[in-house]
Order: sequence, then structure tokens, then C-alpha cells
Amino acid sequence: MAVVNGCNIPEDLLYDVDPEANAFTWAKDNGDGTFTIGLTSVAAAMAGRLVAYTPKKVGKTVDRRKSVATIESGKWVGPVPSPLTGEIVEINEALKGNPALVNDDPYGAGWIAKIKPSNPDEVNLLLKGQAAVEALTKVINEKGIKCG
Amino acid sequence: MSFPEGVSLDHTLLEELKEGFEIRKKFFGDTIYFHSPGFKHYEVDDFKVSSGPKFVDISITGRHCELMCDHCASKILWHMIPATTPEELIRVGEELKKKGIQGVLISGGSNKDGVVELMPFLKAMRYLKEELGMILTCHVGLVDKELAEGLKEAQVDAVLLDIIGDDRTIAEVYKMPHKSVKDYEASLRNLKDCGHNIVPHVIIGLHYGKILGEYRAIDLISDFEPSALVLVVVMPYYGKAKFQLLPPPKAEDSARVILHARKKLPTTHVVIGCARPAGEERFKLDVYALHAGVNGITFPAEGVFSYAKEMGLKPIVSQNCCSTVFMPQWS
Repeated sequence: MAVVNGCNIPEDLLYDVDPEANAFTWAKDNGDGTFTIGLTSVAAAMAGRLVAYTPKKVGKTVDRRKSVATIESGKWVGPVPSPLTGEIVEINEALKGNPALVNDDPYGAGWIAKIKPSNPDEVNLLLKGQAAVEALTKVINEKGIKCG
Repeated sequence: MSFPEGVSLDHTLLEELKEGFEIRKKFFGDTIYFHSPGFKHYEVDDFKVSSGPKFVDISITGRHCELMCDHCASKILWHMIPATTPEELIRVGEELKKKGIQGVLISGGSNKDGVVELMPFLKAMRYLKEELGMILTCHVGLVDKELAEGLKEAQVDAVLLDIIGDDRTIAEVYKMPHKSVKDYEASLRNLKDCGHNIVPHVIIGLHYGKILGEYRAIDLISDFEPSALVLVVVMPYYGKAKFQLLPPPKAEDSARVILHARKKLPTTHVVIGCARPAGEERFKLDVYALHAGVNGITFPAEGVFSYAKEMGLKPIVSQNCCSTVFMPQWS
């Protein structure tokens, strides 16, 4: 796993990174037709400690880069843009009681939602491996982000 | 009308709130302000300000507060831009002006007597007003005559202060057993005697999440002809550890306080400030507040901007601090 300025970037995940779209998310193929999606450690550090998580409804279809949940910290309120178009099949109930799990474990217990993609080709738009590390490193350096 | 799945409103309460809505229609028509000041990025599905910030907060004590009240523990200062000397305040003001900032709120932590020690900063504040042409608001603690006069000389546009309506809250939450509601009343009087625009704030649920002195505080405020009243709701996650475990007041209980304010101050702008619990509770509170006839809401919960339009209200989006609602707004 790459670590840049204290920010973990697991190389086995897929990433959607685009500062213009406020997209700093990851996706993981669960192998059952669904993907788990979440915020990167970089996004969690930018937002600050989360105090609220308001997901969209299970069953709703969201377009790529459209909001799958709204998150809130003391200084930032905004959407989590879905890296893929698809139906929300599960939301993270644990985050409702403890939104800061996103800060503490962004790639694990702090996952945002699970979706069933309806456009498999979009997976090819996501970054992986070294390309993802480089894209996130650029963001980290340009915005002066430190994790932890 | 549309609102998030799973959110249910108390329809008996909605009936009660109609009285407030009628008051707002009679005295203010259909205009409703939605504020999005620049200290926070705020973006939900139906409400977002795309242009850069125009109004920001400055703390003259940085993150430091001697009082460290249970409900806040100085965290409200953390997002503010620090300027801990008069020279730094001038420099920060000049830098902000270059970045297009048009207004500032100046505040800071309190000393153990509940006073934000602004006296050394008054000349610098006047510079921000006179030389830089900024809108200047000041969120203070308790105010004696000298400070009230000084703020007037500094040409502050509006003075904001939290009013507490129960001595137990002042003693227990604010750790000031030597102060009382009378001291807050005296502060209002000192400010009005100097001709200030005052914008009192009432923190709903301040007494460990319970409603205690809120109604008395509003009654007290109504005697001093405020330029606006700001209502906020305590956010437990801001407070000390023991506060974090407490639930905030129910949106329904807060709504009744809002209705009381609307009735007591029928011709004064009553607005919902930026501090209030997040998530579903915020949506409920904001919807109740619309029905209770408030004049404005800061950082409206997702869906509330649309809901207001469905109610027939005409939204004006402002990047100003909500305490300036009685002044011309920048959108």
C-alpha cells in the first residue's frame, strides 16, 4: 500500500479522482455484481472529522458523479459522488451512529455504500495501481493535505 | 410536498405553526433568505453557492477560550481565521479584501467573566470598516458601557451576542456562577444605549439538551428592539465529552421555541443560524422553521430550499452571515 503524507492509498482498489468534480472516491469489485464504494483517506482528511452521514435511499439509481450520500463535518458539507452509475443496494448503517468511521477506517468500516453498476464500461474510467497513486499524490501535494 | 423517506412530521404541530407563518406573510411577504457564509463549504442537491466566499469569521484569540463552556469547548473558534493582535487583524483584513471578501465577523474566546476582550482591537476594527469598506459584525460576550461605546466608535455594523435566560445554565454550562441573566440584560441595555444594531442569539437546548431559559431569553430580547434574532440549536458533538453523549432537543420542541420568537418579534427578522444538529434532524427543524415563519435559514438541509419554493416562498440566496439579514444582501 502506498502512503503519501500519512494518507494510505491501497493499490488493489479502483479510484475516481477529479478535483473539479470533488471526486476522491474508491470502488471495490465484490465479485457478486456489486461494488463497495467509499471516500479515500485524502477526501476524509480534506473534509475533517465527520459528524453526519445522510445516504440516499436503497433502491435509488444514481448516475456516475452524482451524490450517493451527503456527509458533513465542521467545515465541509457535500455529496459523495458515486464513481459508477448504478442502483444503491446497501448503505452503511454503522455510519449513521458513528460517521467518523470514515476518518478512522476509510477503506474498511467507513465504507459509504454498495451499488450494483448498470454500466459496466464505466469501470474502465476508474484509475488503478500506480496511476491512482500518482493522481492522489498530485492532489495531496497541490492542496497540502496530511492524514492522521 | 416532497421530503426524505422515513422523515415524519408532527401534523398537530404544523397546525400550531400556521400562526407564525401568517405573521411572516403579513409583515414580510413571501421573501425568504438562505444564507451560505464563507467559512464552510456547503453543497447539497438543491442548494449550493458556486462563487468564492464573501463573508468570513475572524477570531482574536485563535482557538483559545478561557471559559471552555460545556457545550462548545472552544470548537466554534476552530474554523475562524486567527488574528490575535491588532496588527495581525489589519494584515488579515487587507489580505481578505484582496481576495474579494466583503464582510467579516470578529469574535473570539471569552475570559472567565464571559467577556471577549475586544478593547485592544477597536482601532484595527475601525480600519477594516473605514479604510477597507468591509461590513463589520462582532460576536461578543458580556458588554459593559466602555466596550459598547468602543464598538460604536469602531463603527461596527451589528453586535451579536448569545442571551441566556436561566441562571442555572450560566452557572453550570458556562461555568460562571458569579454571573446571572441580569448581566446579559445589562449587556443588551449597554449596547442599545449606544445605538447599536443588536442581533441576539438564543441557543436552543443549551442546558444539556433541555429547553430551560430559551423562552425567557426571547422575552428579554423582545424588550430591546433587536435588528434581528438568530436562533441556533446546540450541537452535542461540539461539546465536552459529557455533552457529546446527550441528545439535542427534539426538532418539535425547538420548533415551539421558534414559534414563540416569531410571535414575540412579529416585525423583526427571525433567522435560523448555522449551528444546529446535522442529518435528518436538521431537515425536520428547517421544515418546521419554514412553517413557523422564519425569515431565513443558514445552510438549509438538503431538500429545504426546494420545499420553501413549494410552499410559495421566494428564496433569496445570500453569502452574508445571517446576522446581517436586516441589511442589503450579496448573492
